[in-house]
Amino acid sequence: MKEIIKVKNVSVIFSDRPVLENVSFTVYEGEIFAIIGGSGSGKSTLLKLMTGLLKPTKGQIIIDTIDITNLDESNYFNVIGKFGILFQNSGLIGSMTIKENLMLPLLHHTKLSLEQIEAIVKYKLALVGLKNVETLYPSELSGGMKKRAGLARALVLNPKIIFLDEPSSGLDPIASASLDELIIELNKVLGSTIIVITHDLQSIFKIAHRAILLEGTTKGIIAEGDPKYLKENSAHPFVKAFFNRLPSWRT
Amino acid sequence: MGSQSLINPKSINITLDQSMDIATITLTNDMGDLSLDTFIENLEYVFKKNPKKVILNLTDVSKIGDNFIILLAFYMQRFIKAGINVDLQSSNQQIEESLKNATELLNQIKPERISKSPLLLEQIGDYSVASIRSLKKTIEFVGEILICFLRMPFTRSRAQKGHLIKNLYNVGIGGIPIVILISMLLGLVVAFMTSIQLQQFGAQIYVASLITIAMTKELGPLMTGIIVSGRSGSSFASEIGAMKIAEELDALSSMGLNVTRFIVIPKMLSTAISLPILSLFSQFFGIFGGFIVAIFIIGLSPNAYLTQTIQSLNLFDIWWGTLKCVVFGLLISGIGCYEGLKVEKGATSVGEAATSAVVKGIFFIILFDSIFAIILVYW
Repeated sequence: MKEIIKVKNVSVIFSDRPVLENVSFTVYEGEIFAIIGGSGSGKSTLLKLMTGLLKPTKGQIIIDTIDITNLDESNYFNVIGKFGILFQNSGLIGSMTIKENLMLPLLHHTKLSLEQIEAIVKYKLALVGLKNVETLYPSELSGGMKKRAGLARALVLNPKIIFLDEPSSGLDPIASASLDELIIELNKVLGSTIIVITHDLQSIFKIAHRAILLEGTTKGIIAEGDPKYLKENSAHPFVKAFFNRLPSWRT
Repeated sequence: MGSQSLINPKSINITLDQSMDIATITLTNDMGDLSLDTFIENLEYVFKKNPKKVILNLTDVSKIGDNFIILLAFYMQRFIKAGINVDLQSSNQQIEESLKNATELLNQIKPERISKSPLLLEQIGDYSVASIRSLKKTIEFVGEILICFLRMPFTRSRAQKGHLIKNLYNVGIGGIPIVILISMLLGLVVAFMTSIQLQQFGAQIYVASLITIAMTKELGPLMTGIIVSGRSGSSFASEIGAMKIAEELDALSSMGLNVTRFIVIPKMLSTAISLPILSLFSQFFGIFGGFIVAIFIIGLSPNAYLTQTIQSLNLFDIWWGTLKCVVFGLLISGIGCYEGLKVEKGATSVGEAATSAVVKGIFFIILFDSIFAIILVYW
């Protein structure tokens, strides 16, 4: 399997307060990789690191053989262009309609005609199950619809790597289940590598091929592997408590 | 058979037979590095050659990005519309189905209707209705504020107290440096400019009177009002607007806290209290600016300047200025809060609210300043 993201001995320190210490892991091409952990364990920091929005205090992050920790601006955008990112609060631009939001990357990165762009936008919206929302503004959508529109925008360029930050938070069980299906489908059809940050155990077991579990006190990874396997076989009390949804593991 | 092959032979291969009648587009399975732009360039090339028949060979393809599917469907439609026969060769049912779905989707896209611009009469009507609605809202807002102010002596909430102090700090103390700086510069400039004119008559000593009267009667309150409008009026509007978007105002109402009383009144009170004090700073430092010019540039003696200043100072002017400032303060903060409450959605409308708070604030300050001037004349 080809390595697509490699995080090497990364440490992050926010004004004397270490958040991540010596974290290393690898994501392979075409897998659904979950980053899980309790609140404040550094999941979002890790996402920011991998998308180049944050520079690590120490260590390397290699995406497709390019180290993104010391890139100049133009190269940075070349690498980042391969990503689709769904932000936690959808990240849609409030002053643009949904259609304009989705058109933005296509207008900027391709030479397609408006007609073709419109077709793609419509297709992507249909893909995530949205209809007749093109002319609406993000503020006119419900939370779940916003999330799906955000996902549609992340998918619009058929990215090689898709980052999803808490995709199922704030969605009803049906919507979140269909989002899981969609993620599996995207992974199969497009062969995209998908990195999910989530708390949702059900969705983790359903979609993730591999997962890393972060923990706040050790500031690093305490378990790595297939979540189903970890649930049954891990001896670590925190890992057990997390995957089996038990109350605090400390006594 | 003579044929010609085009760019990117790895993932897309196009051959045209010699008579340019039949074009074969063959896609291979490895399309990972093919960009959408190259893809449509190739298809566009075929279209421009205007063949009689296009053979679309997808037999090697088992996996294809959905953006390519849509574009394929788009060009298939275009070929058919141009009277070109399309022969689809595929061994994968899923891809065929996706193509069919994409074609259906394309058919759903109707060319956008051009909306006719409304008639002049309609526009006037719309505008009138909107104006009346907004007037009604304004009256409601003013009424609510009045009621809150009238009730204030009888109702006290502990929750409100901290807010007033925080706002007093932000508007009052926070505004002192910029008010001092601008007023002093204003004093310097006015003194300098007038001294040049007064020099012709040897009447430079009257710079002192001029600065004193101008600063206490007009410039002090007016400049302070404009500065505070830019500083605090806009900040009120954007703060309340952002709160409204984040549903914080709804949260306050749901806890039984009246938004006007809890948010608007402390802001109005603190501005109405701070502005006169800031204006005193402005007046003092404006006169001080004049003093510096008089001593170091015009060469007057400090004693003469101060004597002249004290002679021109009039307690009534200062009271009058203070009264004006209270009114300006209420206007600035009231408009700022009102614009903030009007915010409906999105970051843009917060920006618009801030702009409109400053523009309207300054307009109303100057309008009321004129009204005060007229009152003073006919009093």
